[in-house]
Amino acid sequence: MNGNSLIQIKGLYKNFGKLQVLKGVSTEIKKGEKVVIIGPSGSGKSTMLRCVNLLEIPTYGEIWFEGKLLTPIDPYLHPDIIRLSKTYKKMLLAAEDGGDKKPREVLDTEIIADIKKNDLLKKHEGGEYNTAIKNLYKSNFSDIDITRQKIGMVFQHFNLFNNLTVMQNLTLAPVQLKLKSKEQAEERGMELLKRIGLEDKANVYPSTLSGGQKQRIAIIRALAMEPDVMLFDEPTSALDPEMVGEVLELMKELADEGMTMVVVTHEMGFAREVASRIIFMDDGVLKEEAEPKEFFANPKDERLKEFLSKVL
Amino acid sequence: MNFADTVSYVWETRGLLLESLGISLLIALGAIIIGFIIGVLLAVIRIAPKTNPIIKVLDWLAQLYITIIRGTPTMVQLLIMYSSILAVFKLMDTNILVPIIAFGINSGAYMAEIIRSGINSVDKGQIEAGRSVGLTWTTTMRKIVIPQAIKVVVPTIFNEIIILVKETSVVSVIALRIGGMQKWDLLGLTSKMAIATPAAYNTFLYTAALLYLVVVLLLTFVQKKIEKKAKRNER
Repeated sequence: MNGNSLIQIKGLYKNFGKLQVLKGVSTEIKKGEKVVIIGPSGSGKSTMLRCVNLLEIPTYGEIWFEGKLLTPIDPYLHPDIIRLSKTYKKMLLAAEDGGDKKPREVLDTEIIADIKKNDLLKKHEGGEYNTAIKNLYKSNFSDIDITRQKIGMVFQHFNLFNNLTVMQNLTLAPVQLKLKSKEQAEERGMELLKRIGLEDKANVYPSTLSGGQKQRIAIIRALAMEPDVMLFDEPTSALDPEMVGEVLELMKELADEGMTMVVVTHEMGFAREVASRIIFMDDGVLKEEAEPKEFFANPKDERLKEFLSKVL
Repeated sequence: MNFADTVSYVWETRGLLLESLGISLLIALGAIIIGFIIGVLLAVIRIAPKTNPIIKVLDWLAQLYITIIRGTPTMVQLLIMYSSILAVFKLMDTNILVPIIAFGINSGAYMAEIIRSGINSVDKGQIEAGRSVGLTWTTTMRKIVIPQAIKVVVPTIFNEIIILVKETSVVSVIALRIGGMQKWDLLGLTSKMAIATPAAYNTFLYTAALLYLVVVLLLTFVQKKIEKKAKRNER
């Protein structure tokens, strides 16, 4: 794996009941990149973003963050685990007894492909197999709460904690998770509030704030955790037009400071100005990705051309 | 006896009446505390993600409990508690724990449903925001969702408390003892007195009604205060 790769998404599928929202999305986000995801509504861009910190559990596929697998273990994706199953052992034995003279590796690959393709694993695949799955589960999946500390998320509807003051919103997680003492957290909270010019709002409740103020506080709430990457899920879509500017301004500042960002948005100006890469999603598939200049000047995908002609 | 005479007769028993009112309120208070704790626990079990078998079993038990309690009359529950389940307490010098536990268990089922609906009414985004900063499900519930849910359910909880205060009058079907002495709740005492002095029958009943009403009015007053304070917290 590349040293400066932060997030890897491999073959991501997500179904909601019978509706297939993501149909095999793969991409990689490097440290310091500002990736903007655009696309028509219902294209799966928000779902993909929410899969990155497992607010949605992917149906299939893998999410890697800083070299760690976040997604629940899908045995079909792990040949090492499949090899421990009874089904694999039986098939291998049968093939070898049947006089198959192919080299072991070829046989191995064929059998694993066969198992995946035809969904051959049963419920009872033996103790070795179950233990391996359990261990993988333990070493990866249980980490999600800790991993999320490193992945800041900003929501369309701000989602500030309504029962807490602005300062409590900023300090709850760092203090609860014992990353900082109450004093340290409040000091950092004040620094962040000063930065966005809202230090006088420290002790008020979110319901008294404007949408723009709420969203900027939601952004610094995520920053208070000192994340390695920030995810933005349509951060300006629920704002009055006159408040969009202040939020985008803060996001630009973060980008300039080198924060890794993944932004789902309809703000084409922001994409053009800030993105290091733009991804176009449509119908659950990643249709095109390119640098902003190339993306806007020379779109290749038909659907993207149509989309751009409508929004620009 | 004319009406004025019956009033002065009732007035003379005021000490006993107030004591019995105190007993009714004591039972209600104990039951509310037990009911609230059971209610929060059951509500959390019912909405917890069903990821492991223990939670699934607990959820099933919670549903069973709520179904049985809501499906049977309070008086039947009290009598069953008194005569079998809590029969150990029955003969003790102080057996007031029996109605407190019985009403507490009863109230728990109703509180559970009230609190569950309160938790469900909290915006899902609040949970997502809590989880996204790395808080566990339990901490998110404890620090963010339940405080907001409680605020939403204050009026309904008070409604339940008011019903409970009045429903403690059912306790007159069992023999209550405190410190070895037989005692009565408000309705129990009233009906005993009313039967002993038929001439004052109606006056005793009206007095009891008035006392219950005063308690309920006080509770309503407290409810308004709390709701107001909860609102102010958001300013």
